Amino acid sequence: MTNQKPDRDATIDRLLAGRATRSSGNSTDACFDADTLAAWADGALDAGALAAAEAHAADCARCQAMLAAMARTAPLAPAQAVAPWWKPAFRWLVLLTAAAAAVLVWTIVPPRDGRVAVHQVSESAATTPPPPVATPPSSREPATVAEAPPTSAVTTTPRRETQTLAEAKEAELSRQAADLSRRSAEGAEADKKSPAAGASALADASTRTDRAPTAAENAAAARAAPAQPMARTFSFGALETVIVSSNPASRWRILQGGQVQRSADGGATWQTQTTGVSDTLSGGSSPTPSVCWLVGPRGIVLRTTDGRSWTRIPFPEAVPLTSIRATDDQTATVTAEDGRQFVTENGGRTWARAPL
Amino acid sequence: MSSSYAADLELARQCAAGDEQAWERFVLEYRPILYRAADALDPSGGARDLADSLYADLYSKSLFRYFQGRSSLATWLRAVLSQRYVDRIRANRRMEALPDEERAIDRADIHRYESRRDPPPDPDRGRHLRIVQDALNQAMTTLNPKDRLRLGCYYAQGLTLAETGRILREHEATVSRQLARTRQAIRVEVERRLRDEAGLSDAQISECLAAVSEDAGPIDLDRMLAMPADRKETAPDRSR
Repeated sequence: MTNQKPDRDATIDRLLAGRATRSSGNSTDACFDADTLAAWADGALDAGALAAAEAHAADCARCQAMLAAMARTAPLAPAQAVAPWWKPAFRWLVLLTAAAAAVLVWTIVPPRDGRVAVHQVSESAATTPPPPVATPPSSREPATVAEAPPTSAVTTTPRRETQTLAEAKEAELSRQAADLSRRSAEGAEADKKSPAAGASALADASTRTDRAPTAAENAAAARAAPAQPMARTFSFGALETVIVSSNPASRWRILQGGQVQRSADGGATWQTQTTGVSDTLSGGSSPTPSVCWLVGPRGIVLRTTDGRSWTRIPFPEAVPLTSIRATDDQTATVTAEDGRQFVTENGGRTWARAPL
Repeated sequence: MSSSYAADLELARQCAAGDEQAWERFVLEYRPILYRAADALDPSGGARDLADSLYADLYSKSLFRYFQGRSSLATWLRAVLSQRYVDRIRANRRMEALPDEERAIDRADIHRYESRRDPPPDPDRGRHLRIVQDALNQAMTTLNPKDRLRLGCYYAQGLTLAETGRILREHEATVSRQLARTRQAIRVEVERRLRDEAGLSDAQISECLAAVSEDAGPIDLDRMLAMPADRKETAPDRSR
């Protein structure tokens, strides 16, 4: 019985999320005037007035809608955000940890001949232009690092030549990715994804299309692929996204307007499922036949654990989410359109920024 | 009035008095704010006409007199715009459905909802829907106002955790935790009512919730949240 509680909580969540959006209740004298609404938004109401305002808004659809409109029109002011109590201390902790790590590395790593190193660098600098800035191993494009030539190539090949090859390869990859983006854009006018989102949708190493992937697509996918793919997403070009689970018989496909369809027979037949959202979703990941995660605009994260009913998972930011990789019903990594990644290991109860 | 808003109040007074320079300053500083807010409300540009109308009302000088300096002028403008936007949407909805019809999420509504599904997969579905609806309605009344407001912002208004937190002066992590706690409290209360009042066993409760989980039918959270105050059993504020 105990293990039914999360399912029942999810049912309650679904009942609440599936509410009709019709507003009832008429304007009354107790409804906020613009002055009170603005004072609330600016934090200028005293405790008594705020409690009274909250009590009224709790039961007044009109005032709730006005508060919601105020929240949506609020300018972004990160400095005014309510920060958790531990945040200032956490910043110092990060700095101190970094400093301690640096000291530890400096102490443990055996010293090299500094004069030789300086000489080599000076010599290289004198004969070659400065190399391009190296991509850090955990940057937003880890595949670039994975694709880099082996160390031996760097050590045995003259620097200028290595750089030229790398540049040529980079240019070729960029051209191929651009071609792919252009074809995708021409292929479907309805696809609202930006090129960045498209590249991100290709980010899973196992991403493929319903037609044979071209060399350019493979190159773009490999370039954008994360180092550790966790689940498989199949994309039908720009028309629709199909998410295939670990058992290919079970799969989902994303349609327009928040609609999702599921097939339990490898795509022969499809059943439409209600997700509770109206925004077109952008990606998904299905680590097992009955578990699937979906993401979309405005911080939408959805999950099903029984293959039938969808629950909206609270997400900390209303940013467009472009892809997700899940390992099970508890662990998933979401990628936002701006490249940031967020990880949950408890089914979405909490999210943490993935280190860059 | 906060002294930090004194300059805004002075500007509003000057504009109301017909000071041309003050009006030019107002236009320069605040018109973009007004349009940004309109675009945030309706990215397709549907709220621009409201911003223009508000701008025209401000130019006629009468509207400035309502600004009392309890907030910044920019926030007050957003508030006036939000108020007009919400009222227009509500007025349009009333044009689409008469108020009596609008409030008709009730047993008859559930019956209509049931009758348009053919054939019903489970003969008990209608009964399950009704008793869960009733239990859920009652469970909502046991919440304190802040919890109801949080639920309303998140579910009925579709705000994000951060936006909800901005309204309630809570960090988004706190909002997330409180929503989880409230959902759990509702679940416990729904289970209790299904057990004690509907006389269901735990297995039947599971069956009942599973049935409505698949397709909950028409549920109007706005209406649940707007139930008369005398039907509410106040619970202590546990949101802090």
